[in-house]
Amino acid sequence: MVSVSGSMPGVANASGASAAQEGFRRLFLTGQMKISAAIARDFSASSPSTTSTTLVLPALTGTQIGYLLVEITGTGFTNSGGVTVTGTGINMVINTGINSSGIFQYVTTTGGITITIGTTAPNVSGNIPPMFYQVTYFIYSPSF
Amino acid sequence: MTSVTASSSMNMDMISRLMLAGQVKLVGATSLQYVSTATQTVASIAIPALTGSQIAIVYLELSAENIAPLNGITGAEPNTSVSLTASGTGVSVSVNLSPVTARSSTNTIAASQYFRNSAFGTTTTGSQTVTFSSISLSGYTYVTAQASVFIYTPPF
Repeated sequence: MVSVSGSMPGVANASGASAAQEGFRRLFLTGQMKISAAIARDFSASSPSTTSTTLVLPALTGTQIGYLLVEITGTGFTNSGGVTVTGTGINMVINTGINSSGIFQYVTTTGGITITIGTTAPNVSGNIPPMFYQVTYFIYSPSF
Repeated sequence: MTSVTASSSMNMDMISRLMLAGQVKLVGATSLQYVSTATQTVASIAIPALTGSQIAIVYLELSAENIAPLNGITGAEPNTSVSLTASGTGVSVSVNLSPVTARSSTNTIAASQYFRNSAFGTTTTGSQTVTFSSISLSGYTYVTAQASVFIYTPPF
């Protein structure tokens, strides 16, 4: 089960964000949507048990809208882990348990935000905390 | 074949649509298949110089098939994990799998299981070489690690 809490203006539930992604892909073809930045991290054999990464969401102009999608998956073990996304106007706290995943969306009309993506280790002593996240920032520039 | 257990929905489908839009081109691809617990080096890819608003997309795809139960392993299922990591200036992307295969009481499995996951990251730094490494904690897992680099020219 994936849960989310905190102050999250513009955060949609997992199904809403998933539907938005399909819309994004269609908008690529029209030249109205672009990928601005993306990072992805895992907890695994080659990764530290905790991470903290910053990502700059560029400022928006005119009628542009920024969409930040946070995808998280936990697999295989009973212990849970989580991802936090913090910055000016955004405070997402997402926890994930065994074999669960979710997609969450943050919407901004101004951008110009530096977010910090932190992770909480699933705390599996002696084993590998199997957690993965992908964070992508899209910018939508309406054609009218 | 078992479906994906961990997945980013930002996959090749998205990139292929960007290619159709004429905004993305492939500049390099590399892959490695192995069965080992030793750290593996996947061949590196050079990112050319970027101009204007171009960014590079580093795409990773990892697949694994767990064969442990077929080798007479007894006791608890190994807590196996497989990862693939890209390293380079401004590149922050890695992906993992936890290809744990359920066993019966006789330590056999009904069928091999296949797992896959993908992820991507971006960098604005061109004229650099991105390196890749992969680690598997199980010596009984077939791993295929694939990495690609694309140049993305945004429409605005």
